[in-house]
Amino acid sequence: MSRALRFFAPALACAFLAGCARDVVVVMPDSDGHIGGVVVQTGGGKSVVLDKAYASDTPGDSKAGVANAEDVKKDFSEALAARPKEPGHHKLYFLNGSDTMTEESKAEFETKVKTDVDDRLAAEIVIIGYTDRVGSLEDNDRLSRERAESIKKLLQEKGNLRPGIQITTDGRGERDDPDADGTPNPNERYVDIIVQ
Amino acid sequence: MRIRSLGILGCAVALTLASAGAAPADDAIGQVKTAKGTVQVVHQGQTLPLKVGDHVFQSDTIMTDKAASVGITFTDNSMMSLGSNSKLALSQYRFDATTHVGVFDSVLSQGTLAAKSGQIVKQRPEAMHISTPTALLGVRGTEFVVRVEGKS
Repeated sequence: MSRALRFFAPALACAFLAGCARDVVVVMPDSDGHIGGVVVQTGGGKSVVLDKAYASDTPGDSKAGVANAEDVKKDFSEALAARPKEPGHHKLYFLNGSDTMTEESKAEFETKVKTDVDDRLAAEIVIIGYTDRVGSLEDNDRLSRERAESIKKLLQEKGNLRPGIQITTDGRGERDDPDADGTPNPNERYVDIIVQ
Repeated sequence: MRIRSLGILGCAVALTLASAGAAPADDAIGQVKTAKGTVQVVHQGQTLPLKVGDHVFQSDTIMTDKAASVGITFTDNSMMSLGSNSKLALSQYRFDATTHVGVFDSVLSQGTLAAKSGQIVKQRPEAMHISTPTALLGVRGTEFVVRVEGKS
């Protein structure tokens, strides 16, 4: 409860002061058009749920309503323009027993992965390699690490990596493949690339 | 004695890297992805410039000047960006990358904020709070903007 009190303390103090800051909250549709929600609680114990596109509340006045989308874009233009790029998630596939990509993934590296990374001024990139269950555990651990390393090297050689980009790699071998031991499966010869 | 001094040296190096924001520190909660104009952070009582690539930590306060802005992505993929003359305190942040359980509490005391919730809220709605001088916001997802008007 003390945590709730700590949060409410400024709001309560504000209720007794004249000329308090006037706050505005507006819920926005996300890039997929999905609308979430924000619960607005004020010092008086009232709470308002905003869960429609551009639903808006001014807690000081307790007036909920709907904001004009164009006004929001204008009023919040600086903060909206400063939004970071969405985190990216990519998957690239490899040839059997090799750290060479399939032709399809080679193309995808150029068109999607490289461009995603090149666009970023700062990012933490994690590359994790995997294998199918053909071969020994040790060989597959090594191969999975080599797959991850090969993508890192390719990004360093061909990409336009800014100083704020950090890449870490790891290999999980055949551990995450649910197939029976010795089963060849092209879908399990891949790396996951998480760009944040 | 030798080991101890090495330990201290290690600490000093780690601290230097952390304050410079050059290396990812284990307890970093987010990274600056965009920055324009004068952006500063109050980190452990010290006011330092904040630039693209720098990391931010729990208890840091982020401040933007006139005509400045900043955008930060946190480890749970939530994102926050501030317009000019804004001040945001990152009061509490915890995130378990495996279970996605966490809390994220911040205080916007002035300015404008655009935010998008991440894994913490996906795992447990309203585990992210933003307080302003007049309200406590419980975030169910995903994108929203907040403005706190300064006293004039």
